[in-house]
Amino acid sequence: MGKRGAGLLILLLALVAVPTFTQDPYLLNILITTGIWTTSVWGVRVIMSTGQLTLGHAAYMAIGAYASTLLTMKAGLSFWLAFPLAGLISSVVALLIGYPTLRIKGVYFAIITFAFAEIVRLLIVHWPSLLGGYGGIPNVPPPSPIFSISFKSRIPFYYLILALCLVTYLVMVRIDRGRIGKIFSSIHESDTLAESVGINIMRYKVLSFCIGCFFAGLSGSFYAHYFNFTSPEFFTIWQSVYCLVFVIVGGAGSVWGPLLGSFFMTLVPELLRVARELEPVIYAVILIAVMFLLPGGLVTLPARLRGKKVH
Amino acid sequence: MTFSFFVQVLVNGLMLGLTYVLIASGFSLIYGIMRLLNFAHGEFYMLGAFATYLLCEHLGVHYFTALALSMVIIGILGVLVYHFFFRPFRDEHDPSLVIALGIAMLIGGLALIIFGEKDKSVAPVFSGVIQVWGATLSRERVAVIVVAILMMAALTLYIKFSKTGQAMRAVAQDREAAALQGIGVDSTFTLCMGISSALAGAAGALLAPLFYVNPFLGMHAVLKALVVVVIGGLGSIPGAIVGGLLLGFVESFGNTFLGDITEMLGFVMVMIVLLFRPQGLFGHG
Amino acid sequence: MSQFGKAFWIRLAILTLVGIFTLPPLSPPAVAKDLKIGAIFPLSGRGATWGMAAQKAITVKQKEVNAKGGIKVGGDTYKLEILWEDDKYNAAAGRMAAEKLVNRDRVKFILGSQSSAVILAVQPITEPGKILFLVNSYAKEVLSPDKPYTFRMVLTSNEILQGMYPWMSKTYPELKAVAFIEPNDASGWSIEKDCRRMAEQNKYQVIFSQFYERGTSDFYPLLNKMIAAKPDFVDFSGAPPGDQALIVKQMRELGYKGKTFSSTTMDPAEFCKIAGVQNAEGHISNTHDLLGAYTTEGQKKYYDGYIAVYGKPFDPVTPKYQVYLDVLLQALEKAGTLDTTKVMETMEKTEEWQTIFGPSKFGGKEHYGIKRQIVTPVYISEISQGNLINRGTMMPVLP
Repeated sequence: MGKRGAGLLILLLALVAVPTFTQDPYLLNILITTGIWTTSVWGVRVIMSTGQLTLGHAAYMAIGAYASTLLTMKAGLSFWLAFPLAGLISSVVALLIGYPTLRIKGVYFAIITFAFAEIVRLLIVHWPSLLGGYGGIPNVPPPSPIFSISFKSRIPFYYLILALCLVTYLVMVRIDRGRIGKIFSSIHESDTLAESVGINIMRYKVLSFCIGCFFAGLSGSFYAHYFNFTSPEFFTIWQSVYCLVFVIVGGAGSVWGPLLGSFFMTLVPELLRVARELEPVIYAVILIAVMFLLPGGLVTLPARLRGKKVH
Repeated sequence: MTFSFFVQVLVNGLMLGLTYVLIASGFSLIYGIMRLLNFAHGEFYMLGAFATYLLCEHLGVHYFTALALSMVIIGILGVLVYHFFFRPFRDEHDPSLVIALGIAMLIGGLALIIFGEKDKSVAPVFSGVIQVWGATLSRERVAVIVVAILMMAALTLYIKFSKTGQAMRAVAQDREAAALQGIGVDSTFTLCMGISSALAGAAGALLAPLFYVNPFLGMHAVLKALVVVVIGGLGSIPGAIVGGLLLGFVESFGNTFLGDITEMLGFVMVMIVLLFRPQGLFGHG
Repeated sequence: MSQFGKAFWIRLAILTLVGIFTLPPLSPPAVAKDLKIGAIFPLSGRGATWGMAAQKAITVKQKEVNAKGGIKVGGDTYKLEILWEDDKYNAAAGRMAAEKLVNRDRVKFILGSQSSAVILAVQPITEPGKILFLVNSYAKEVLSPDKPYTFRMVLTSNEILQGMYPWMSKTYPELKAVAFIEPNDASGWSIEKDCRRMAEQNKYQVIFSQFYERGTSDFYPLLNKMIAAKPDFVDFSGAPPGDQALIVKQMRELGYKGKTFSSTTMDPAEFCKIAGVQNAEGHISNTHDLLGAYTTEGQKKYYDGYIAVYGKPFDPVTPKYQVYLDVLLQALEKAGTLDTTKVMETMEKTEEWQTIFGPSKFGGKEHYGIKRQIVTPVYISEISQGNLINRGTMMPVLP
């Protein structure tokens, strides 16, 4: 198993054991929210691994949230069916949008993701009969009971997000270490070079985009059924920006980056309770500090502490 | 629909368009020369408005002096931001975008804490309205239109004919070649940043008495600037002018004839342009 | 390579780990016989004007009560401690704030908030937990029969317009056609619906209604179209105060001479500054000049209390927020217990409350399905030469 695997197992066991030590709903809420962000931000990382910057990730969270809300509330489907479908729907939209736009490079692609995100938000708002408009859709039901576990308290939600994060983590690691991951990073390094070796870069860029948006959709769906409420206000430009910020602070180079980044950035405003309105300033300062002092993100901290050179 | 109604729609479009041009031209300049999408540009606009507010309302400075001072202050601020935050990431594309985003968040957040969220106002210099072919325009707005046109003209002439302006164009075209020819890339960037920020500050100062001043102006401004330069072509001043006017007219007609769906039009135009002609109307590849 | 030494980072890491495992579960040391009341309001960002106004008004009442030694509930006396949380006018932050108050600080009473989205996101926590939630916000859905622990403490456009539109009809019978301008957001939409319903009920013709993009400051295109429709008066109740002032300024520039109207409260000094004193002339709003006509003893006392704590100038937006704490405390004293279900029943059963606005009550069974909407007087005032003139007052009818 190796040192690394053992460490991971211990962490997992610790996380699983948390509710036996404390049932404090407040603490659980922080962990659950962090888990939601982590899932979504892992999606951002996958997209970034092919060298594309996305400024509109929240839109795909919104698509997932609204899709599963409508599927459960209007079409009467069970959450357990709506949840994966929500992810699927997000990735289908990603496919439709990604195909024509991913051939556009660099900053232009970032702007497109951004414009699309705004269009999605405005569409949601301008279709009140179906999507609830600005007021959003209240009374979104929690997941229906499964294996005789009902979702009345926090604890089942905690285990569900833990499971989701575990699955997402395993998928991400598999991608990273597998053939696809190598192709992604070669496209990132130089897509002309990758193309010259016969790689269909469009296909892989679309793939990474769809995978990333799949997880965004899942996290959005979870969000809606956990908060019992979905609203266009949850999925604004700032959420997209925060997704990006979390990945960068954590470090896009490693699968642990999104986890560290989400955890750190969720925790800091909680610890600094007194300075509430300083939150955007604090985020900005952390982001800038990381860019200058710790490029590569928090994941590079252990290596730096050991005195290794990190680029 | 009467003739004067229609003229009013056109005039409104011109006014809106010129405000967008004022805000977008600096943004476009920075991208064109520095290849940086400066998200903090909108915050400089907002700070220009606040500088004018503080000078006029708290220090009793005369408006036109305040306008000039605001330009200088914000220009210097732009240079400082460049020197300390943008320069280290000058040659890296994605990191520079992220830093610009971070600076925008920082300035916006600090402004909110320092100034509070209440709308502030700057006393207008001109009062009264004039009629132009049946359309009404306040004298304030006429003044802004005139100044905006003068500024754009000055900027265009400067870029085209002055030595430093030509240096900027050289750097924009090919950074390395320009450096080889002995053009200081760093000093060019500094100058560019200073001028663009001063322009943003001027826009803020000009529009402050017309509307109101609050810390949220920045985000709204930079979004519009983004739409304008994408349509007009990132890096092109004529593009910013045409793009800005186009957006102004589209919004004026949109709000008049289509209603609030107009909000989406800008972004839809952006997507269409990026899909079919990513370099925009006047940009180069 | 970072210029901070290895030691620094190790220390930082240790500190962070210590923080993670020790700080969050810590709650402030509890003082015996302290009644903790939670308050969720927008204290920063957009909406802070109202949030801060609420904070001021509630603090004035809190200090007044604590100076007297606290409130008596049953056999015990309690000093009031208000735990303030900032919802930043967005639902996610509001929800987190509620989590904190309910699950960490264990409050049983929450005051707030301003935004319907916040309230709707918080109710799934407060209702099952039987937390008494005294709210603001305009959305109708906030009150419903399946949410018995939520009470609305401020009039919404539904009730206010119910007073103001008939008054307009009576005072200015020559005005027949009305135009609406609202921002494209939750309150704008909800208010437009109420305005439309009230206008039609009072036989007005709605000849124009348009929403504008938030962040707009140039209203010329919209106003151009509106003026061409020739309305007799314009209602922009849903627009925030700064926008309202700009709309008035710009419509006067464009030559519109009709009446301007809003069912919300505003600060006349700031309004006139942005709009221009001449342009603001004749503007009708639901602002109460606390020291003018229709003033009660309670209001004078509140005014003095406010000045004692905050000094001049007096913030005219604050009085309506005083009612939150005032009515809650009266209900606690009446119920004689801190049990929220008993307090809730007391609030429902009590026919009349004495507030700084005179006698008030709860109503709304017909309109909302449940009797949870407070009914306080509606004040109508007009701006004349930069000053606020009281024009009338009435109690809305809300069966």
